[in-house]
Amino acid sequence: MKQVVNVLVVDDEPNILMSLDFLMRKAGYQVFVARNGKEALEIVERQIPDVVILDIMMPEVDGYEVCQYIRRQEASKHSKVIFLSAKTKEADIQKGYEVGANLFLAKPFSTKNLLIKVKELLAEG
Amino acid sequence: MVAGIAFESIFKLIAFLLAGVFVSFYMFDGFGDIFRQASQRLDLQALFTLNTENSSDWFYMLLVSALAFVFLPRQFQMAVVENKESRHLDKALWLFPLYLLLINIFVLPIALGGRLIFEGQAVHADHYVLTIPMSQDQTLLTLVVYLGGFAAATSMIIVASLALSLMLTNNLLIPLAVRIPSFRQYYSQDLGYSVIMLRRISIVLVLLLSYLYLHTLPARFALVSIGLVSFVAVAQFAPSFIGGIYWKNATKFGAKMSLLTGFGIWAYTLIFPTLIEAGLFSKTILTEGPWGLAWLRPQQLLGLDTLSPIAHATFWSFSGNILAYVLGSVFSVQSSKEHNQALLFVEVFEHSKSYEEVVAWKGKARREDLENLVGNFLGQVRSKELFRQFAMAQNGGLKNPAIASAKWVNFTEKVLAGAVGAASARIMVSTVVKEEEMSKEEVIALLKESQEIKKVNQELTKLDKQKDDFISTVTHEMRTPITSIRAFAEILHDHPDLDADDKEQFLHTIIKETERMNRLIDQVLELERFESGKSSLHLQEADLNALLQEAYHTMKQVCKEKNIQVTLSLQEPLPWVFLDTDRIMQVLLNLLSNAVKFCDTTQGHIALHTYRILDEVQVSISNNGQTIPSEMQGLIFDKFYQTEDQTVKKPKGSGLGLAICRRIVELHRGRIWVESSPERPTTFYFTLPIHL
Repeated sequence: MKQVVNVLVVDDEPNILMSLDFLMRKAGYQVFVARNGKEALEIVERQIPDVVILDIMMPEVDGYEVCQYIRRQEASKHSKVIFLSAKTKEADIQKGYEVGANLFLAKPFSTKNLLIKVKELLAEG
Repeated sequence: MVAGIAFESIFKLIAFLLAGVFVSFYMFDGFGDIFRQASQRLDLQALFTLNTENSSDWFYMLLVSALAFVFLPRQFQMAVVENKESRHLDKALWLFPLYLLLINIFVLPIALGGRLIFEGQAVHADHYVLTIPMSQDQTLLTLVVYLGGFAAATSMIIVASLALSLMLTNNLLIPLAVRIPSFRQYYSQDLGYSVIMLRRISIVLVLLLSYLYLHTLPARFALVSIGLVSFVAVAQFAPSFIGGIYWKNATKFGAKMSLLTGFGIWAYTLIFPTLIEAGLFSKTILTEGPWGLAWLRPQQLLGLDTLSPIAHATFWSFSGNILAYVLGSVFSVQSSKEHNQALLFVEVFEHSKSYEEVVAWKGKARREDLENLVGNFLGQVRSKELFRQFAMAQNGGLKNPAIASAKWVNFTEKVLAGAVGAASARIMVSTVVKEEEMSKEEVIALLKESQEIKKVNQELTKLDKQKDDFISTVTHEMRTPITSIRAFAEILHDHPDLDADDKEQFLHTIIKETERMNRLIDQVLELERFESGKSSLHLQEADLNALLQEAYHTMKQVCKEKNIQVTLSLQEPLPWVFLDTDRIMQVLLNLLSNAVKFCDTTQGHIALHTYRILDEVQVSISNNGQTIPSEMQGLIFDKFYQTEDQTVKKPKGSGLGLAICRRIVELHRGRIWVESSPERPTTFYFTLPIHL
């Protein structure tokens, strides 16, 4: 049996957060939820996530900043970051990859696809 | 040609510098030595002081030289006609004076050196630069200097005759020829060729004339004095030229008078005497005046006898010229065409752009005629290509109008001007174009209109941008509920074994999110209706207090659940106002539900007030929740105000509620605003006028 996989989900939309939480728990991951960028940063401080599912448009600290922070920290540098955003303009996606995302998924998203992608990223190691 | 001239200039400069260095440092011990030796010579001493008798001569010489700098045909040809880009002037501004400084640096040493070396010999001062190295048996240097001088003379002849012949053909011969009907019939077949012929003829003519001048007039003048005579002539252009650029009220008549007077006096005071010297007229005219009238003596006009001939001619011709220009302009009336041109010239930086766009011109021309006209000069193939390119730039080549617009005519004139000069181009275009004169008012109206169109255009672009932003925000806002709906629908679909509580909650969320989505669509459509003016108010006299109480009753239950205390203080009696009860109710409910939403979560308090201020009724709804930052207070009434900063999201809601409130209040000619500070509760106000 492999060790516990930590997944951090960040979204300021409570319903979306709830669905992500449910999906990840059902898939057998240890889930941490953050309702905004600030909470996400606090969680990253305490617990290194294996995967982060990250919204972009959030008040105060946005998703890009959270990703940059994760990449700067020695401990979380290798965490997998998936942007899950309704901002799907070419420039938004490009910026997402520039700040160090592993994947950019558009909202609304397919739950199956999301789960497959998370699994794939974890398999990459 | 310009490259050739440039090469010649550098070659000339090097030759002259070599000669200068040779004289100064080989023949003498540097500048100091030359000046020391020269100052010991009595006959040269006078040259070192500015004596009072001819000091005013220097003033006039500097004046005409400075003007010649710009107006001499070959200078004008190089500075303006051959100038492809105005930014080249910036470079010429320092490079040309530097060149002049370099080429003049050895003038005094060579001149004085020549006087010292050839003391007592009859050697022409113009030739010192050549004769000094020759006398020292410096064959190579002599050759270089000779070639330099030869090149200088050649280039001067080439540029000068070219410039003069261009002036002659473009502004005199072609315009004249075009006026002759029989010529016009002939040339319309082969215009380009006849222009070239005219140009060739005029080059020969110019050279012949100068040769004639050389032979008839005594060769006793030095190059400098012949030059000065022509400098004074060319300087006659200055008043009308400069006036044309800066003086809006100058007239064509004034300019004509200025040129006639100036050249008349110049010819009489400078050219006439040389003709007398040449023996064409009696010498007594110089000493006693024509018909014995002493005050008409060409070199002492009106008894002015203290100036040298050049200074004398400059003084009188300039005085007469300027006086004629000013008086001629003041006492004649500008035609509308002149006025238009004057405006465009003097205010060139204000109007040039709009002029390009509108072209103050009324008339009719067939595009084909214009194309053929250009074809006569540049060849039909090139002409077709140019017109095709212009059509592409104008309308993407979609349609080629049969009747040319002003833009086409202007374009034709520009193309032609490049080949035959502006004056000729204008006349030629006018042969194919039926022109109507435009009044000053029409021109100004056109210019104004184009500026207004530009402004409206900018506003439209801004509105367009806002609309784009709005659509992109609306679609983004719609994606949020859809995301939840899809996620939960898939979860429900993929997990048939969900426990009842989860299933219940997820279904409930889906329903809520569908409602949210529908609300958003309703509000977008509603706002759209308001903004497009499709939605109008149904006004009736109503009691605002009653409306407020009704709204409060609607929200009462929610407030109770959330343990929010509500206080009403309504002014009685409050004047009835004309309003759309449904709409105002919508505003009240929106503000109230906002107040509930943002109220303090534990000890909530909401206060409703109505009161009359002057001729307005004011409503205020305050809550004791979070303070709205002052920089956001103005923005929250904008549609999706977070569009200003894409990363900031509003706590809840569609982002359209307050925008709709503002529209409704403004339609009632009222105002809506918010006040919020740490000291005072967040309060939304709106007013309605008592008398509509």
